[in-house]
Amino acid sequence: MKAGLSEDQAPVPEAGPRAREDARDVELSLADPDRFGLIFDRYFDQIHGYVERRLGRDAADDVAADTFMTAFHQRQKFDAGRGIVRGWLYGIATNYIGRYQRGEVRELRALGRTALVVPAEGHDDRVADRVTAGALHRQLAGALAELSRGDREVLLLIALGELSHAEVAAALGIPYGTVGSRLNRARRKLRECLAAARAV
Amino acid sequence: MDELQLLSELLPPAPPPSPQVAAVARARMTSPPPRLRRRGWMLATGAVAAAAAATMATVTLTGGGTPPPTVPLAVFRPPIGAAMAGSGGPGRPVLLTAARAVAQGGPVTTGRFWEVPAVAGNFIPVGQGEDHYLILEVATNDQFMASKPSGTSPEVVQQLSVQLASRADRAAWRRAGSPTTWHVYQEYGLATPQGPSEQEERNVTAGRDRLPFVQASTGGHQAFVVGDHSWSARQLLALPADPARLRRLLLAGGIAKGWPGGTSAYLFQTVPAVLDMPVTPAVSSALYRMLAAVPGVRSAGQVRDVAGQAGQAVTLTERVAPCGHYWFGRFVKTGERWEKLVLGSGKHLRVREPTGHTVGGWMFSSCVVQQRLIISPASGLPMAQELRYMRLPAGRTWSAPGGLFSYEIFGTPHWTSAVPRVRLRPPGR
Repeated sequence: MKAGLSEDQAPVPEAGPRAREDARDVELSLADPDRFGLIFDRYFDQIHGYVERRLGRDAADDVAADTFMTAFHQRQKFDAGRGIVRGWLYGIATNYIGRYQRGEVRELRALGRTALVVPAEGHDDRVADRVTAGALHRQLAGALAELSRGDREVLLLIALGELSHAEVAAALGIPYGTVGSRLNRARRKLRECLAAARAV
Repeated sequence: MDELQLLSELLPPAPPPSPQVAAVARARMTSPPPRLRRRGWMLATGAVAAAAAATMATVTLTGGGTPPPTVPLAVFRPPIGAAMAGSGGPGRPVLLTAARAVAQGGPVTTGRFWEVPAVAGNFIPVGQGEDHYLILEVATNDQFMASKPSGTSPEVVQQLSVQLASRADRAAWRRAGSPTTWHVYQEYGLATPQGPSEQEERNVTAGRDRLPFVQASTGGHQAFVVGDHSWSARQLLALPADPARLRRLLLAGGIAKGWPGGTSAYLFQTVPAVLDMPVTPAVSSALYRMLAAVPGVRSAGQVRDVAGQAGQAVTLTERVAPCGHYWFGRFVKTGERWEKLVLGSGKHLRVREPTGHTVGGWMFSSCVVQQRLIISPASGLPMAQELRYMRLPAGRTWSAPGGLFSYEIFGTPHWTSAVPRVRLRPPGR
């Protein structure tokens, strides 16, 4: 999976003011490397958070650092006409996450088998909900583990990373339309799995 | 509750990273990138010189009152590339002899670091426009691979010299104003149809860049890196002493697909790296026997490496397209204007405009590249590896002796407990 540089990439997403500012900072960082620090400050916590949700804190420390190092050294390859900085960064992070993929899937499968402790929030009326949710989480983890890698990446970039479809297309180097079809397929599989669990 | 909301609960939002983690990551961002390869030679050394002071602040040129800079001329004592005896036959007998030699090795011991000392030489094309010339950068490439899972595995690189490759290169260098610093983009790893995956932008300075630096390194749980595999010392000991299984193991993961020259070229490059690792004599022997069965491997007879040591060589020759040194130019700002500074020439020029600021291409549309493995007569282990152009497209030339563009000469791999005491390379170099 290539980050952000695919030749058959989607229609150019419309860039908002933030995206334009990001692209400009990357551009200026070619002559003034310190300027890339702005990109770091803007997105490090976000990328770290996304990776931590998927792989845990230790891996997140490594992956987030690797992501920004790679981005910095490849910044001249970033093409503002075809990508969005945020999506590009998530794409690089996704490539690194791929190295942990086996571990991630194994862990999700394990989660799917064991009871999940849902942290208490102090609202008694929600306890019943949480008990049900615990069982559903197990189902969900199992279902997530069984998704194809491509479908899982799209789903998690949207659900956890809160990326737009255009950003996901840029991140994964896939056509815009493919983002929607992968997302639909992934959601359908999860829903089917949850419906089966609720029926039990 | 819909599935996306449930997903968000299953993998709940994380608290922000600590300031220390962020600070370390921010500092690491601008440090040299880690190199996955474990061999210091590159087919895709992309290099572009910036000899124009107006474009690159880092370039040093001859000043008024300062003595003229000097860059020594490379001297190659052995007739590089010439066989002394017994060339041209199949490679199999040479490799089977080596297989018997390494099978005599003793039991595998252990230690803190497995050190593979090496000196690597790379010819880097520099110069503006069509006026290219070659510099030879020679550097140590010592790998320390940790045996403990928690240990780190430094790779120590120290520039030993920068030289001009030939008299013709020296003349071109003078025409370019005798610079002693070159700004190069260096691509690591063999060129693939997708292009090189790792890139470093740096300055090469003759006679000054002598500070050793340590590459970012992998932990001991995956210290021994070969292609897209990384093993621990313990895993190495569990490798099967069976040529067919070793072959499957090295090819698993699929990196060899799309490798320039294909599976044979990939195995020819990676097997010597495994031979230099702490594997059992039986595995070493099986590796040589596996290589002996790779189609296209020929004997080059007895040759000398760049250091003048004699050994038996085997070669593999493949056509590669596009080929060679992937290079970049860039858009630079002169006064108020952005200008396209094309620092070299290539057939496959790709220009990204108007937002991108790089131009790039391959030096050659195609070429024939020969990998050469020189085996030590004493140990049966790899003594040197070389890459050379056997044929360039019509009208293109390469001024290094024998078409050589990259080599690496290995010392004896051994266990050591000595931690290399070196300083990190200062940022921005």
